[in-house]
Amino acid sequence: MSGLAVQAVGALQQLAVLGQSVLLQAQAPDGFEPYAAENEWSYVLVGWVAIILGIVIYALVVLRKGRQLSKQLPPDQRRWTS
Amino acid sequence: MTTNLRKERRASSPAEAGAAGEDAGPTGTGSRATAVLGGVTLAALALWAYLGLVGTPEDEVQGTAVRLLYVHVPVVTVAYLACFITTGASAMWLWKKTQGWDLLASACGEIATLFTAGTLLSGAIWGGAAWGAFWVWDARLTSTAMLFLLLLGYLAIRRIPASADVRARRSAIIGLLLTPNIFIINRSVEWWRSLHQDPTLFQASVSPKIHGIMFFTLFYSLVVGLLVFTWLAIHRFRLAYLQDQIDDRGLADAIEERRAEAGA
Repeated sequence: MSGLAVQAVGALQQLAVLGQSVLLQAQAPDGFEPYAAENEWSYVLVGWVAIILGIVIYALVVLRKGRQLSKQLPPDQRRWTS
Repeated sequence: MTTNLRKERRASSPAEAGAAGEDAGPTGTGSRATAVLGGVTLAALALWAYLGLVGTPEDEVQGTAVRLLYVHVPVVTVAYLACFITTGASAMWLWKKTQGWDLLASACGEIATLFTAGTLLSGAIWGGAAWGAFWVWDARLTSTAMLFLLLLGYLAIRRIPASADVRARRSAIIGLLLTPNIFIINRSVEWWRSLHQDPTLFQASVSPKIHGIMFFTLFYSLVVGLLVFTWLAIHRFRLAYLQDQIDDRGLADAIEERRAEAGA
């Protein structure tokens, strides 16, 4: 579990660096202060991606588990499918 | 709420149930209504991402970091909403003792845990951008962390082996504590000196501090959060119901086996 958490943090850090470099190139010509822009965008991207990813993973886990469990029950005990 | 559902006809064996499940078309927690809701939610999420990341201007003070507002606020709102429902459903279970309220409380308790974790994470990232520190032992942050620990305790209690009634009673008592904790979180910025900003929305003395597309996007993000919560809550409730039905079947089968053994 802790190994997974370390990997997740590592992945987020890599994403932040990637977002930083991409947005620095994208924003710098428009008159931003490059240093401020790169920092803020990396925070923004990590925040958005982490939240969306968390919700998507949870939704997929719920759907998958629901599919597994419903196979163990007859259809009349899953009335929402009728 | 769904106590009567326990009395429905059972398949005579797991094999029969499995075969019936496979023959019954769609399996899982989905239905036509949730598929439509899911489609609408996905479209709403796409527009939310566009507005939040591209369609809104930067803030005069916070610059680009203000875009975290459109994530943090709806995540917090969904976490609170899920906690309110968990508390309400827990109270209803203690009053009515019907199984459905316990399932609703457990489903929303899990979603509340997820979104409270999201609250702490998005808040820490925003704090890193705005304050230069991911975490401070501020009253609001600390009380939110306490809510998260309480929710973890709620989920842990539900995993302790016990009869359905005992489990429901234990978790309902913890569920009742969630809403008072949210009240403490909400008031914390007024009761103690805090790095976190004071509440700005719904304060009569404060005029809205954001306008136009930023104001629209903030409230639109709340609508999107509500859609996501509704979709998740329906599926998670159905999952809890399925799990409960399977537990119930296992118990009934075990009783029948014991009766057969005693009769032989």
